Amino acid sequence: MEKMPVFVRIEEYQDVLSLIRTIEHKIDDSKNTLLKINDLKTEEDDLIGRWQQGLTEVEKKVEFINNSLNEPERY
Amino acid sequence: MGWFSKKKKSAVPRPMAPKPIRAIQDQQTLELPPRGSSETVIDPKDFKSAAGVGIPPASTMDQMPETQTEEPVSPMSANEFGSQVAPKVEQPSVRPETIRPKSFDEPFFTDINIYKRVLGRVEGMESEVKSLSDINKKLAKSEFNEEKSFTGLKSSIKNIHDKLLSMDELLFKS
Repeated sequence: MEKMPVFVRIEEYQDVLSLIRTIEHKIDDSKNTLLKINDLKTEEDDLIGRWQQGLTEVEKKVEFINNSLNEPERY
Repeated sequence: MGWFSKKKKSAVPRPMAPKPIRAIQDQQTLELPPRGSSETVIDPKDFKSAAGVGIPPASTMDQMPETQTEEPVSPMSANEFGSQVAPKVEQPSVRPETIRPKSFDEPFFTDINIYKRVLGRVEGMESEVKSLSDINKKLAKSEFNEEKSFTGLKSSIKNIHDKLLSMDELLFKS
């Protein structure tokens, strides 16, 4: 006996389509937000690197002052 | 008497094959069937009854079979109807899996296998969204810790700056 196709009746499929469109818009928004967060994270990493560099410079200068005051004959 | 003697033919007419219409038109003669050979002869007095004149129309309406009012045939019923009554037509190898309505007011029919797949995808999406929500919580916690660390870093820098100013002041004073 040949298998007959069975169909499912979906009543309010217009609402389903509307929800799918909304979800697609939300996914696009999320993608854009994720790109912005990624840019901010890259910028933040750059600033943290510069911060670390500045801190190292300050540390060197403090060390120089310390050595200058403690052992002036060497400098 | 021989076969070809000139004997007078009998009066009984031979059955003749019907002539083509074209021949009749050409000859301009028309042979009617002999009277009494047909049973469909209508006498003049029976013309009215044969034409239906004089019969009340209500009685004819009562005898007519009831016609069914046309209902909108759904695609499913049409499919079943076609499979049961219509002669078997060779169908294409790929049968339609969804029946799209012409307007949004009509219902949408989809194959049960596709429907199952859609339900499976929806379930998968729910679990994905749940995992994303968990990641969001962790990120919020991480951001909170980062903010806390950044606040501590800012206070340390301010402290260093103050100490440097004090040291500068002390050094220049001397």
